[in-house]
Amino acid sequence: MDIRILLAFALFFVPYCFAEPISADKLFDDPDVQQVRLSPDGKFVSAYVLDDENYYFSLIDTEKMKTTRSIPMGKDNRIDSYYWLNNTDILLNIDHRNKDRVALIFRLIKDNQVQALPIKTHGYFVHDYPKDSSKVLFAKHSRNRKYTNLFLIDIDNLANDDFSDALEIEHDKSTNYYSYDPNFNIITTFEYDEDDDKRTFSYLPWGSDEWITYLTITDKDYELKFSGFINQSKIAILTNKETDKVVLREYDIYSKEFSDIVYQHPEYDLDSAHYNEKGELIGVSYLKNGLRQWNYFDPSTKKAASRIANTFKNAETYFIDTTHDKSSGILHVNGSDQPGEYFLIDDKATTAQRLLVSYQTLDDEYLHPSETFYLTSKDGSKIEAFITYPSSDFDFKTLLVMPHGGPIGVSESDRFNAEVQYFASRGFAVLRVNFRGSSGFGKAFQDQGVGQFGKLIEEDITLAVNTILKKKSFKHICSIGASYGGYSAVMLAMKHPSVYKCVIGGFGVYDLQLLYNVSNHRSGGEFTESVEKIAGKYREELKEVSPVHQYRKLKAPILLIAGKDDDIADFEHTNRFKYLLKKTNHDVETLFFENTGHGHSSNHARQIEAAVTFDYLRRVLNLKLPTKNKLSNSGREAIARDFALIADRYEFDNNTDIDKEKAFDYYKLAAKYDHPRSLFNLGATYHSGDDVKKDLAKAIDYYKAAADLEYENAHKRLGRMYMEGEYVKQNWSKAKHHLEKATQLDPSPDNNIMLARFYCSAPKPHKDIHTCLKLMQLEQYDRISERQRKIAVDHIKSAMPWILAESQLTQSELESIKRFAKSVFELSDYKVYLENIKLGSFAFKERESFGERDTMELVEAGTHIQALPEDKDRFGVQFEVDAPGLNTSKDRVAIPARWIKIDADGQTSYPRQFTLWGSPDGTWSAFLPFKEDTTQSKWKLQLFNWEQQVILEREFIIN
Amino acid sequence: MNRLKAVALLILLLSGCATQVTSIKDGQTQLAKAKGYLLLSVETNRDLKTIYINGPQNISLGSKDIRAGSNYILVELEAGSYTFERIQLDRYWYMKLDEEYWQVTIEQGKINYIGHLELVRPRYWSGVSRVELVNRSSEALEYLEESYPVVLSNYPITNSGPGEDDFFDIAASLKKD
Repeated sequence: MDIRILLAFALFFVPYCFAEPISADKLFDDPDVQQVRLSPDGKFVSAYVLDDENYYFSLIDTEKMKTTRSIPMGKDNRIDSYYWLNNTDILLNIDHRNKDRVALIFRLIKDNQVQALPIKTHGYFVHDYPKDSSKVLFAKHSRNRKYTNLFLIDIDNLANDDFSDALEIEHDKSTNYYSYDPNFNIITTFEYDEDDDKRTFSYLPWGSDEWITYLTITDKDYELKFSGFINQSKIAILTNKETDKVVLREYDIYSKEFSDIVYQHPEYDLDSAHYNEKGELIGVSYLKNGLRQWNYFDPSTKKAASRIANTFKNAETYFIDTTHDKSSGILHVNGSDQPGEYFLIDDKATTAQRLLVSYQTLDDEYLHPSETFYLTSKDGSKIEAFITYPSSDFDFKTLLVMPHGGPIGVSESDRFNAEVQYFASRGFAVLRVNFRGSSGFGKAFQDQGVGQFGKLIEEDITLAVNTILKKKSFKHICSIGASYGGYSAVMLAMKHPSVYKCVIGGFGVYDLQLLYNVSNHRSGGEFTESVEKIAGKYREELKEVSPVHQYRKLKAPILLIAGKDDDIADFEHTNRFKYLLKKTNHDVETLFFENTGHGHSSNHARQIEAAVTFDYLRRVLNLKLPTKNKLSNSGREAIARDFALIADRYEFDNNTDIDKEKAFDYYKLAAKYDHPRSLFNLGATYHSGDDVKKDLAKAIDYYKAAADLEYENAHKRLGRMYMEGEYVKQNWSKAKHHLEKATQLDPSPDNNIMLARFYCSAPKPHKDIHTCLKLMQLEQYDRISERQRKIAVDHIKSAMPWILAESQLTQSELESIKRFAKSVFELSDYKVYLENIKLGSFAFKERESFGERDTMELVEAGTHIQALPEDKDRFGVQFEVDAPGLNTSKDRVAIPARWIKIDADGQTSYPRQFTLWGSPDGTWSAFLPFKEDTTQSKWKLQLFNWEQQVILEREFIIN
Repeated sequence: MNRLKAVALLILLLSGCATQVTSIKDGQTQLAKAKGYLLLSVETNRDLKTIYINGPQNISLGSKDIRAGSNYILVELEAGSYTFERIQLDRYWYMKLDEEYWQVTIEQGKINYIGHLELVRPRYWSGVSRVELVNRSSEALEYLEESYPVVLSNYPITNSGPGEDDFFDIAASLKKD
């Protein structure tokens, strides 16, 4: 019998949806729900929930199946870990973006209220104390975090940072790691000796003062994993020391000898083993079909496990927490088409209540299941492989052969894989193979892959490709992979030029001899030994299987992707391969990331890589995308966002080469799929005229199209233009409409403060100083994050010149604004005088010697000046500041300023509005760069004081 | 990298007998007899003060040529074996380099690419977390093609840095095809 599933939170358990492209930002993202736990009595489920607005610590009442508390934590804070100390107290360790780590105890009090108790102590919860629920075992870090001491402490005392009555567990270990085994009432720890790469495991029977070393691990040539205590003299070990597979063995602590094998699987390495409080083996797990499988020996557990397995087919399940009495637990479910679900389940596994999903944004998307199949190689080895097909209604009939990295000791799984889902949702079949060298199938299988670069490994992959081709035909086949997979993708195409139509190699190794001596420190000795364990001995024949030496054999077009800071597959591998291919006019494209190592550390970069790869496949295989009318909203958004990501990369990404023309083309592609931001960007391009011929009519059309799609920046831009009368007739009603709409769509500091400008400067009846100041108040942004506050301050700096110059203020209104400015800019006084004013063109002068600063030097004095040629040259004003009575190096002076651009037809616009803010020391400046169109306009600079007076005004004419 | 240590020392203690060298201009020089070109790139995240290299000629690279970023240096030197002695990070700190890892050979009549010296100093006041001489031959070749086409057409380029590598031979074979 299967489990009865109760629907608690989800409206639809199985979503009804079309198989369409899934947006990259939904797939390549961190889970929205993390660290799901159960209170010891099972009354609450707790979780760390991340959404766009804020991060929350949430409590779900398991009786009502309802979220009773969602505590906003702020985006600067990250819950690193948390623990239920008892049924009411939760200890949280919180990392702050810019500050020290802090700890809090959340105490549940009446009516679902939560009391927050900050504590100074740093450390972690080890275990509750079975004999006294008011006490816990707590590991306390020393101030410098070098040492960690273990205490048995009353929870109330912990909440008060009072360790005076706590019992310290004596030890002479320099360790930071403690755990407690309630079955045997022992404390365990381990130490790591970095010099000898040695791990020593010890335990202390409760009440004893003698630590007993029960295991030392030094040998790296075989697996050795502690699995649990059987009794106080025997432990369970998972090892392949004398066997091909990782098996379960008992180990005598005192004789230091292994017993016979307790359990082994004929085909797979064991992954874990579990014992009960009596030291009896309950069950083991191993990876089969790419998913963790459980084999239980206890009849009742076996029955419950069988019900779970029958209910959640083709998925991996495991308990992540249970109540103290084991009457219920949280089950996590994950599989190729299931990125993660949490169920509350009873001990007999008769009912499961769906609690939460890991990725809320994927909950209504159709995800593609994969199929596992097995092959037999010529020499009789069994090879595991996974194929994921796209849906029939969106199928490019293209097979992507995707070898994994490593190649030794790594394996593919059937778990949720964002990259596979990305391509399957875009109409591609994806084949992955656990070729020789992959982990999980025993030592012999793994060792067979060593040194088989371009040989046995690619034969295994080709066997899988041929098996699939017998079942299904494809119009195109391409190879794609990263790291070893990048190398393998190239070698497959070189070996089978008639099969592969294109190649995508990411972060690959292409010159195998370079692996052994890439630098003075990465060559010889231990480094060479580590390479030999994967690629075999250094030898001349490596050239025969190195793409750099065999580059002429590559016939298919190729996209090479690499990180310029990669120190595993050094960038040099990719660059020299690219060099040779380009020199021989091979069809090669590149995607190189600055500040990137062997793979991406950010989800955004993963999204870019996926989008560029998809676009490459589309172009090189001449695939026709469905038009926007044939896609649902989410499918359209996914395609549009891919194009916009590529455009952004060309437009402003610091980690890749800028190409404005390509950016413009890709924004146009995204705009075809109604991408609001791309429509806006096209408008902005026509507005600025930087990269296309300036066309204000087109600009406004694009802005309006983006605004119709509810894009807040378009509303803000239109609102500002109507407010300032920039290329449109000033219209306060229209300005209000657009600026209010922008804040409704996104109450960001940017939008709010633009609306504030409106309320301060608009004529009656729109004018509302109170609302203006309220929208700028920093407290509201502080509550979200320091970053939000910083953004808000930047926008206030930009708003102030407009407010001072354009507002008709009464004296009391002006005083309110001055008070506000004083608090934001920490002004000592409002009075300020300018001295030693230099007007003209200024040349950038690089520092002469070590430790000096770059300077700007006056070239031509005056306001009618010649343009200077260098990018860093500027025109404008340089001056010193005298603030009477103020003698400080702190930022206490603020001068609002703006540049007004006056076109030949008299049309004015405000390209730069800003507030200079600093200490009275040193040199101040207000500059503009010389651009191509600088000579076509007049440029007026205005500086203001806080009494709404212009303290400097000059008009520049540049020839 | 652990064997590399930065030690505080007054600037006055520094030896001053090395000749400061700067890159040649393309096409303006002919290699003298028994001399070769040294090609090096210094990739650093902080401005550096001086790099001392000793051998048949004792030379130093000055602060203008080793600023934060990428700094290619092509200089003419007497042929022979050279050792990177130390890097003066700023006025107060220098790091001594381990001779075993920092020896290169300059062959006469050739452009001797010795590697990219990569240096990472996480903070201004901290020591160096990584310094390494890395083989980035293809980037060096692209740089020469762009900036020193005349020198490159007149002299063969060879890998004089760590390890064996025949990339320049493969690249040269393209020209013969």
